[in-house]
Amino acid sequence: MIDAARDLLDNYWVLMPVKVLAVLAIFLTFPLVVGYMEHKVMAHMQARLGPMEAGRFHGVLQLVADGIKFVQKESIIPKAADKWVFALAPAVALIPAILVFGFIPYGPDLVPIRSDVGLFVTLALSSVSVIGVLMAAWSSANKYSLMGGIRAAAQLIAYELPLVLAAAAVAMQAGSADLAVIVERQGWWGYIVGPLVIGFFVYGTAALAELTRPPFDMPVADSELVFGHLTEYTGLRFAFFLLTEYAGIVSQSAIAATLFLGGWKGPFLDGPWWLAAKVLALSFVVIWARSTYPRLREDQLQSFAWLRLVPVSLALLLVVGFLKVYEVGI
Amino acid sequence: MPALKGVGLLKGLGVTLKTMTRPAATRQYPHVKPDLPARSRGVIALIEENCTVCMLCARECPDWCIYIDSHKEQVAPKEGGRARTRNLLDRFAIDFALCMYCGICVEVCPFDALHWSPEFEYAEHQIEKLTHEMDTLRTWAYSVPAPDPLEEGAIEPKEIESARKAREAVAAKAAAAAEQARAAAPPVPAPAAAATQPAAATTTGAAAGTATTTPTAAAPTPVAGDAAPAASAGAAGAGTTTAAARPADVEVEPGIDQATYDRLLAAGESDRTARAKAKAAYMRRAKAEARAAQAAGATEPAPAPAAPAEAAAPTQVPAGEGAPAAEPASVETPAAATAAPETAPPAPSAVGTPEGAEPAADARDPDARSPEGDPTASGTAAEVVAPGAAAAQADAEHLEIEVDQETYDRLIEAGEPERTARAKAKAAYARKLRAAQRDGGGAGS
Amino acid sequence: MATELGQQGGAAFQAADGTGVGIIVRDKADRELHTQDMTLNVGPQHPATHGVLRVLVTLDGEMIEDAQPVIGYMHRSFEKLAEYRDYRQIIALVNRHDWVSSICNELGVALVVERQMDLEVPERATWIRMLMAEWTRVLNHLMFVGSYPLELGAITPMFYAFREREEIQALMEWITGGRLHLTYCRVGGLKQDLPRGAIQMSRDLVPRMRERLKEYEDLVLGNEIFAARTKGIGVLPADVACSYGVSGALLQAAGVPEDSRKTEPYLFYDQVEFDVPTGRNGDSYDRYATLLARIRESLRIIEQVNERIPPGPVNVKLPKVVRAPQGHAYVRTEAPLGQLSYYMVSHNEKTPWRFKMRTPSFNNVSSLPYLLKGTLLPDMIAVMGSMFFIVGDIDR
Ligand code: SF4
Ligand code: SF4
Repeated sequence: MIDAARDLLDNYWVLMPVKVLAVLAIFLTFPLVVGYMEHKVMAHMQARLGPMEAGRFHGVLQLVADGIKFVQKESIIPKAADKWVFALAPAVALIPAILVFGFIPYGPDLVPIRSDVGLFVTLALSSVSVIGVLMAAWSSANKYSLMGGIRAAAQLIAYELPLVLAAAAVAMQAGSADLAVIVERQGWWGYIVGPLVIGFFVYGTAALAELTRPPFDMPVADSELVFGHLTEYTGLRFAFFLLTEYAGIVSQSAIAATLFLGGWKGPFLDGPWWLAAKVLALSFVVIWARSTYPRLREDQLQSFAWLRLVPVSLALLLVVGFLKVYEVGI
Repeated sequence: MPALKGVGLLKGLGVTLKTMTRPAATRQYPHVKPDLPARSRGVIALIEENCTVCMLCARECPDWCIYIDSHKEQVAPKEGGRARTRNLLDRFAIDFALCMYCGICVEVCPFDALHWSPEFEYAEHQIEKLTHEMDTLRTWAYSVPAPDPLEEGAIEPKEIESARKAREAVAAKAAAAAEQARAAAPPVPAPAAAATQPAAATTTGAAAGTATTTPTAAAPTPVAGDAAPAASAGAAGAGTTTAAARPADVEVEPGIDQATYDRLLAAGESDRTARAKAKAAYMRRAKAEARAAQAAGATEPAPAPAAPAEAAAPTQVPAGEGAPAAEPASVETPAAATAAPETAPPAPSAVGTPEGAEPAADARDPDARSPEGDPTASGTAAEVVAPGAAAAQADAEHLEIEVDQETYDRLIEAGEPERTARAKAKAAYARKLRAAQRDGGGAGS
Repeated sequence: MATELGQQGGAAFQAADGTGVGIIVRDKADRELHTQDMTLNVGPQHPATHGVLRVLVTLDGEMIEDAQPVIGYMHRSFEKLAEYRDYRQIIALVNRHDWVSSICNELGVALVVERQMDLEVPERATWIRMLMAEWTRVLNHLMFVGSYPLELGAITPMFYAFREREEIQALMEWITGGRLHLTYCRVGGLKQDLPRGAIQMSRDLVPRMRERLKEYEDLVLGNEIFAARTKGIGVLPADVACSYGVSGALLQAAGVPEDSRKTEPYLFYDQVEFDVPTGRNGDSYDRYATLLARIRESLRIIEQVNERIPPGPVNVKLPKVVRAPQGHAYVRTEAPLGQLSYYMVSHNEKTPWRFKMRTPSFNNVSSLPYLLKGTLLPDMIAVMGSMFFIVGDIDR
């Protein structure tokens, strides 16, 4: 029976749809869970309760209700907008966010798409989203949107470097850019013990910035730019952008967990649940930061990236390389 | 740029994390109703019976959002008097879309016709619907809470002070009477004692006026509580002797009109509103019934849910407002003549109706004023008395006021409403008594 | 005309010479390519203006070249209205120009009329007025303590501030029946006395508020990001502040210990102990810190007032229609936002003949062009948020 199933799955045309469906399922559940978590965690940190009505029990279906609401909303395209670009932007932002989920190793044999350069593919994909943001910003024909988009692009360029450098340190340590191999080479405690802990913080900070999450949320700074590139969006398109944001949190958390925290490995009973737990824990931190910090100013953000994170990550790369060559440490 | 990764950042995280572990500060509003204080300026309630159409409120309102229409009515002249005109209210509406909730109208009303109710759930989708007419304003009067007692060191408003004194005096007298009754027949069971109490009250000279006007005040005193009889006992008393027709406290549940209540709830009204309206409906019906009963024969005992003292519950309120201390104090002024009958349906004994039992009932029904179980309800009812009642009562300390039966009959014949007639008769009586007093007759107690 | 720094098509920042030209770019033929300035309307409907203030900013990139506040979107003609309202109605009216410090506004009106009538207000009323005014000040400051970080992107302090405000509001509502527009002062005293237990509640609130203030210090004031955003931003030197007539926390943050409660005491402020906190740099950070310090001082005053409310009446007996005698009177008070003055001319009528108000926000906001020139757009938010204004108080 099991053998038959395995045989069946060996068939590419059977396996492929299964993988696609699995990835889609993950994409459609985890971001919602994180979104709900954001509602609730932030509310409680602010001495509130958050959603309590939808879904009876503590508003568990709030995001579903939101989704239904968004579907019903009129989709407005501003008159002066560049219509095609405006309409396409959400998709450009959303699709790479989905694809990233395909490269993440969920378990010992659970890697939907295995690639020798999985690490760099995921990083590259997750930064494609910014093109969607830029498209949205440009096509909205709104000054606030434009500024938001430009800020987002500047921010991405600045933080991509430390992000990639930190990831490169991991790749160097593991001796592979294949995400599955990286996990294999880690103990269940991950790379968090050792010099790479610095890399973890650098990566975390840069990822926050890449996600334009507070305290790095200048591109959508509501008190300055209304809502940045999202200002003119309504209805389903707006919902897609929001989904992209939460999917981004999940995928970045997943990558970070894979790179530094041992991925699906745990003290006992390895498996995808460990990855899920780590992703949720990291998402919690992301939300925690949002409810605690004010945002930095654009120039402060830039100087922070170039003057602090980049040198630190370069130094880290050196140290890891040194340790690797002389086979000290981990 | 200062060091970014610092203690401050961690401390901030600590603050938010700590808050997360504490219970939320918010309340789940539609499920949990706010517990609003007595002074809350939620909505303006009108007790139309108290309104004399003096127009002060409409004139003082900063944005003129009170609309009053009235017509004049000729009042038949008294013996030797001139014909007088009286204003009758046709329309009293407040446009809550314009109202700025300043409270000036409530403050200036000399007759305690306007009160603040903490009711606030009356939002509408159309702005015109925010103009509320007399009947709606009247419904809100049922949710007017008793005022808070004042902080230590505050000067007690005059009418409260006199009410308190009168209450104490009555309590003392009642105590004496009860003592006497007990001495006369020591092992009498409670209802019997209760039955004897009102009678004793008359014999010991508890003024008729006092008895009529103090049911609310006397009720909560321990002695009266002791004497508190079953409704039937009191009603029976009412049927038999005129003096005993006014037991200080007959427990008459005002209740609500279940049918109306259900209908309103089904219609999507909020629970509180539905209850208030149902109550009003019930009151109206009960009152009509009582009137019928009264017409049928004065010797009939009142039906258990006796007629409502419409004004009784709300009239307790203004005591704290520091309102018209002086004016209604004397029963001789026409103002009081109109106000008094409402605040304390007086002298039923004289006419032989059981109405005297009413005010206490509604007044002490916690449901009437605080549907949400306001803790002040039954507790503080004891503390406050309607200024009208208080005034009349204060007056009663030196004047025993009866209804001048002659005047009363004459006015009734002349087609005056029963209420007016009684008030005027009472005023007439008081006048006579005063005159007698001036002439050297010692009518005071 | 351009100061050329870069060679061959390089970019250069040009000193502002009034032409509004920003970066000069030269093409190969050494012709100037002018970049265009962007004119941005911040407001009247913009999240950062909390109200309907409009600021017309001329931007060069993200650099502000010029900023002009455009006011009047909320003009409600208070001064003229007051000429047709009797004094009690005016009290209900002035609640509404600075809607988060209503008691302090009505207090000013009551004081100016009383001064004109030469009226002695009972002691109890005066102490209670002080109690209410100080709690209102705390309420008002909490509002800005919460909203300023919000404008800088920190969402949480706002909720905390409202949590605190709610506790004080409960006290205010219990005493007055209102939440925002309390309408509690009257000419000659107060509307009514406190309900029983109010002083005790006020006593209990003080330590709790003190404790909570620490949270703001940890969460906001001590936060490095907050400091980075606000230190050295929007510096308002003392002399400039004085020349614009700036008052309140803004002036104190610039180092001028001016406070009507100290310099020209009204009520019984001369009988209580408190300090006027001052800042050193006059920047946004100092303004915020001053605000928190002012709350502490108010709590100190409240603590003293709680114990000093004597028994007695809270009102003097006045005729039904209050008329102020012929003449004019002026009162200045320290409202939460700064110096609030009322000036009235009376012709012995029910209503004042002229009623002039000097509201703090108006003067405070007039210093915006000075402060904003040469700052970055995101700093504009950091500056404007620290001006602590209420639009109704500007437009009146
Ligand atoms: S509360 Fe003020 S505005 Fe409203 S009706 Fe009464 S007087 Fe007029
Ligand atoms: S002030 Fe009172 S009595 Fe006079 S019209 Fe208004 S509600 Fe009626």
